[in-house]
Order: sequence, then C-alpha cells, then structure tokens
Amino acid sequence: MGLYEISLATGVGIYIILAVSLNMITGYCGQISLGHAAFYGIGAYTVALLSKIGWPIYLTLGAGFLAAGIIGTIVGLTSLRVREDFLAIVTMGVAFLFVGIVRQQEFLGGEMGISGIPSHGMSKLAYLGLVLFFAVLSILFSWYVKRSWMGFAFDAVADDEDTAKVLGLDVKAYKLTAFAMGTAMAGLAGGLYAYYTRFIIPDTFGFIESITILSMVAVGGIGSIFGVVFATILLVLMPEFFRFINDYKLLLYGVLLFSVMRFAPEGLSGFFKLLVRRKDG
Amino acid sequence: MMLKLKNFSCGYGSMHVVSKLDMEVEKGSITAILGTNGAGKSSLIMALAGLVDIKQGDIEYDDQDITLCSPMERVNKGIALVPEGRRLFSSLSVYENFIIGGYITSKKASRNNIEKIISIFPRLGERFKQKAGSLSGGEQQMLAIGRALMAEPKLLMIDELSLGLMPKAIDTCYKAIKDLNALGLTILLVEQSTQRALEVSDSAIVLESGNTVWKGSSQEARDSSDIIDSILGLHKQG
Repeated sequence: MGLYEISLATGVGIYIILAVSLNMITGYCGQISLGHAAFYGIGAYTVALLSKIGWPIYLTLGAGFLAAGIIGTIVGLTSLRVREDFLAIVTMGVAFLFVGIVRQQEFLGGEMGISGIPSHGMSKLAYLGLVLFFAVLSILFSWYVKRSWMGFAFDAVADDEDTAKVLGLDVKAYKLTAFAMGTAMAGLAGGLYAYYTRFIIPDTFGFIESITILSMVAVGGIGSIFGVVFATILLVLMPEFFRFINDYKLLLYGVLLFSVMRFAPEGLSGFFKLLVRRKDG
Repeated sequence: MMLKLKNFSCGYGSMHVVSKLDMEVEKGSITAILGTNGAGKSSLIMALAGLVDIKQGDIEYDDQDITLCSPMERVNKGIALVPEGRRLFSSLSVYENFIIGGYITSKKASRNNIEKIISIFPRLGERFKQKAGSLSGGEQQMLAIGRALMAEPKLLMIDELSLGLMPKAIDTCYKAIKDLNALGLTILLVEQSTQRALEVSDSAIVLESGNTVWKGSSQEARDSSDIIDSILGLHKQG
C-alpha cells in the first residue's frame, strides 16, 4: 500500500465517522443539522491546541470528543424549541458562527489556522489502522443503537414527536442524547483529522463541509448505516478516481443531492432495496 | 370522579378553541364527546393529553390537579391517548409499536401486556412482525388502541375511533371498547359517528364551536330522537 492509498483510506475513515455521526442525529432522530462541520472543527481545534501543549494523543482525542459533545448538547437544546426548517436555520447559523469566531481569535490561529500540530508518533499505516478502528467502532456503535431500545425511541421521535410524547417518551432527553452522541463522534473525527493533516484552517470546517457530510448521509439513505458508509466511500473516492471532476466536486455533490431528493428520496439504500424486491418479486 | 374540568378553555396562540367547559367523567364509565367538524372535540382531548395549550381552568384527574403536568407526567399518572388517524410509527413493526407504547412499564409488564392485548385483538398476533404502515385501517386502529393500553392506563382517550374504518372493523373496535370498560377502564371517546358513540357510552357531551350545547346521559339521548335531531343537528344513522 503506497502513501497515496494510505492517505486516501485515512480520509475515507474520517469521513465515515463524520457521516455515521450525522446519521445518528438526522437519520435516526430526525433532527436536521446543517452545521455538523462545526463540531468536526471543535474536535480538531481542541486536539490541535492540547497536542501543542504536550498532551498525549489518547488524551487529546478524548478531549476533542468531549468538547464537541458538550457544545453539541448545548446546541441540541435549541432542537427542543425549534423544529424542521427552523432547526436547519439554527444549525446553519452554528456553522457560520464557528468559522466566524475562530477567524477572530488569535489563540486559535485566526485566518491562518494552526500549523505545526505535533505528530501522532505512529507510522502512517499504523495511524490508518487507528482511524479505521474508530470508523468500524462508530459503525458498530451506530448499528447497536439502531437495534436497541434507544433506536426505537429515536425512530418514534423522528416519525411523530407529539405521539411519542403522549406515549410517555422523554422526547427532550432523546433529542439531546442524539445530539450529544453525534457531535461527540464528529469531534473525534476532527481530532483524527488534526493529527492526519497537522495543519488546520477555519474554512475546512465551514458550511460547505457540513453540506458535504449531509450529502453523504442523504445519498446513502437517511437512517441507513450501510447505505451511508457506502455513499461516503463513493463520494470521497470518486473525485480521486475521476480527477477531471475534482474541480467540480461541489457541483457533483449538488447534482447528487438534487437527484436523490427528486428520484430516490430513500437514497442508495432505498434504491438497492427496490432492486432486491424486484429481483425477488 | 376520574376527571373533572371546571371553567376549562384551551386553544392555539390567542385563539380559544374550547371555551369555559365544565365536564365530569365518572370512574369506570364511557363518556362520549360529540359534535361536528371544528367543534373542538379533538383539541379538547389533545389538551387533556398535554399537547394543546390550556388557557383557563383546571384539570382534576383522580383527585390530583394535573393542569401543569407534561404529557409524559400524564402518561405516568395513567392517561393514555389513541390519536386521531392512529399516528402509528409506520416504519416499526407491530411488536416494536407495542414496545414503544410500554415505555413507562417494566419489561416483564410489557410482555404480559402484549399477551393481554393479543387476546383482545388476536389479529395483531398474526401480524406481529409486520410493519405498522402495511396493516389495514382496522388493524391499525387495533394497534393504536393496543399501543395505548401498553402504558396500563386508568383513563383511555380515543379520538375518532371509527374514522375511515370498514363496518366490520368498527364493530371489532367497539366490542373491544366495551370489553375494556367492563374490566374497569374509564374511556373518553371522541366521535363523529353519534349513533355508535351513544350506543356504547354512559354519558355524552355535545360541543359546538367550542361551547357545550348539551350534556346528559346517553340513555336519555338514545330514547329521544329529538335530542339527536335538534340538539346534535344530526340524524340517526343505521
């Protein structure tokens, strides 16, 4: 495996964690979030700052995970007051707010970002192993949640919040739990990204990145774990294999997002299910 | 007394949908709330479940004031709602809908309750693993009732039991309501099908534009066709 392939696979692993984490909030619990990259950024900046003052990797990653999760829970409190389109606008605001704040803070590197993040101290292949370990762990955790009691409750909240309330479900607690788990995982992805590139700038975690992550979830099939993972691999690798479209990556994501909404609202997962049903039928 | 409303108003924003309502529901009775479209029946029942704002008055339930209680607290106190249009979790199976309904009870109690509900609605036992969204209208209504029963309620509120159902399914659901009531469950029934509601209920209240226009025993309404015709403004249906 060459350095290029290792680097590509590391990027795929980080995006898998991000997409699976957004799927937890938007797919499972039905809470639209257009600001997921902000939590990715919170994780990355936390890890960058702490690693520069000498914290070891296991502590910085844990801190990135916790910082993003705590701020995510606070942002999640807004989901208790607003729904659907309004929640989308609020979370979009979080994305812009994050970049705006980071740009103005000297200790966060301002526009220039943070460079010279210390090495993780592993070979690139070993680091890929670590990223893939966390990616697989995220998938397994997500799969476990989906099949647990909490998964049913998330489904109920996503499907019909009022009915969930009159059945006695603590809707607020479930929404906050989804935000806490999803944003903490995004923070972990951010931390892994910081060690991977060793240089971070605010724009990496902007609104466009949030839409990119949302595209992966929507194209894969909102709520479907394996659809989302498949779409993430496809969307990260496609511009690499077809270099001529690399410059039009955002256009491609936009077209895919539109096509999914227009022709296959259940994403690739729904499309495959339909194919299987037709084959069986 | 299971439920007592005094000078009760509810609504949305600044609008009062139900105004200055006085109502009492006896323990172990079936009370029908009747009226035409837009009379405020569903808003009233939703307010009792905690989903619509209470503008004025108090709700006394089982000798406790629950006016300020959240929907979750009301479920814990024994109030369950079968919402209009069933509102099942269509992507979940019959079993999973039951499990969600039994959120406030223990696992063991849930298992026992599922068995009891299946004995009331055996058809649901045959559809146990089927997605709720793929059930027929009648089966969906049975499941909606069953899901509400999973919380072991003392007061079951049903919004539009017969809406959109085939006559046979309506018969099954009404029989279940009678059986449940015979076991001691208090039932508050919102219905547009006046005749069916009066047949099973002990007392009735008629709303028109959010105001009470008649209340009394269902026997009285059944015996006097004038009440049906003039007060309810409806004709007996066959």
